[in-house]
Amino acid sequence: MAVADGKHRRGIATLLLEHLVSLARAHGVKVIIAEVLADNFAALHVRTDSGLAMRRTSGGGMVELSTPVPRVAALGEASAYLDAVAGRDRHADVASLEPLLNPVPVLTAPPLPVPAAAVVLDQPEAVQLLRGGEMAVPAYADPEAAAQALARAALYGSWRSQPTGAVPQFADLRARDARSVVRSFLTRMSGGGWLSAEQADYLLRCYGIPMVDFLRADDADAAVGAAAGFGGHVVIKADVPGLLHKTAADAVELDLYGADEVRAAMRRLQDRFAGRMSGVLVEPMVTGGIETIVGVVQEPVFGPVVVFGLGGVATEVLGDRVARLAPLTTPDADDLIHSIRAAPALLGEGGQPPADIGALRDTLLRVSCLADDLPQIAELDLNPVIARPDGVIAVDARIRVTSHRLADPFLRQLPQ
Amino acid sequence: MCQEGNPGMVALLGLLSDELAGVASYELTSDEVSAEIAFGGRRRQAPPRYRHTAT
Repeated sequence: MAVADGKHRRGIATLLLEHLVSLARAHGVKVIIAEVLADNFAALHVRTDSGLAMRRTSGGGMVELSTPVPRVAALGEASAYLDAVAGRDRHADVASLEPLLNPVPVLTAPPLPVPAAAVVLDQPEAVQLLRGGEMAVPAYADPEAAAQALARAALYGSWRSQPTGAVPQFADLRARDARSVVRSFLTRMSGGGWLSAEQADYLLRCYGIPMVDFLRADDADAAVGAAAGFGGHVVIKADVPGLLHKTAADAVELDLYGADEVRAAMRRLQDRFAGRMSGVLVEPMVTGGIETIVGVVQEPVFGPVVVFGLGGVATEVLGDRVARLAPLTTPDADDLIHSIRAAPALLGEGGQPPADIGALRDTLLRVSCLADDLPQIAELDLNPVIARPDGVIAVDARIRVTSHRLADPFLRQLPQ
Repeated sequence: MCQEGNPGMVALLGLLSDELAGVASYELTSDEVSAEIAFGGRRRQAPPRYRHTAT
């Protein structure tokens, strides 16, 4: 027994149950039994609302309801009640039932203009393909699975109907210089590895990706000098070989003003990473904006995938990320930006000024080009990329390259 | 609206105007004097088994 969405709480189930019991009585059935999930309160209410006597037993999360059906000859209130139910005048618009009572066999019908899925409740397989002539229809044992499959098909159809867009060509890329960085790294490190901060910065700038300036400093005096050069409001990051998650390792000193704070931060970092720190990176402090992440990962089958999401410390906690195959088209990049849960914040719907969506799109497209041109990039993280109303800027980058020949994604072998 | 039932199985369609609003059915058990009604609700799904029949 089921009631359609939007038709609940109108007594429809109770009416159906009344009719069912009256028919059962006419056919000589003596007991109606129903097994109901213990938390299916709506079904339990239906039985109560019907006013019929019942016995209930519970166990294993189920409730068994057993209702004796009054005999036809019996006298009494229940019997009269059921007679009244049976006698009620109920008419239906027969024409409206036609599709329900005479369903069209889809396997022999002309090809349908919509996706079709069948439900075969007693089949042992979760899903199998029914064939008839040139038609094939998936048959599911579970109606929910069939509905989910159709929903997926509808979603896919909606995606297919969108304009495909084009992969933009940037005239200002220095692809040869970028390849040279990777080649020279792999010549020295044949197994691949993480690029230094300077190498990663150079590589990204070759593709016009907006990077925050930084200076390397080996001691406190040099850090103070670098900070002064950046206007005095800076961030200092410990450069520790092998340390990838700087914030998690407490290797970032933020929001430092003036020489005293820079020196104090240097002492803290030297204490924390004694003997391991190869220097510090001094960067201007970027304030305001929304922290996002732009990344690339290599998917074993599909190749490079561009990832976009909420960045900074929220990256792992909230997991607000989406991904698309590289190379991105312009609609792909827009789709990435609009698909994360935090998109309203980027678009200025929370009251704050909107981020520079054009610059964000441009950055995504350039990262996509980089990933597409250099398959040696096994992993790339720009986190955070701070999106502000006046532009975007990446304030931390890490790139891992590998000399291993990556699996050629078979999808890319399909003719265009 | 009632579809004519038979002693073994009865199915009803509930219509509200032209729209299908609900369905109900019972099926006789093997003792032929009891009938079972299934109530809608989220099924507890067993792990799916797939048969590969694609060509």
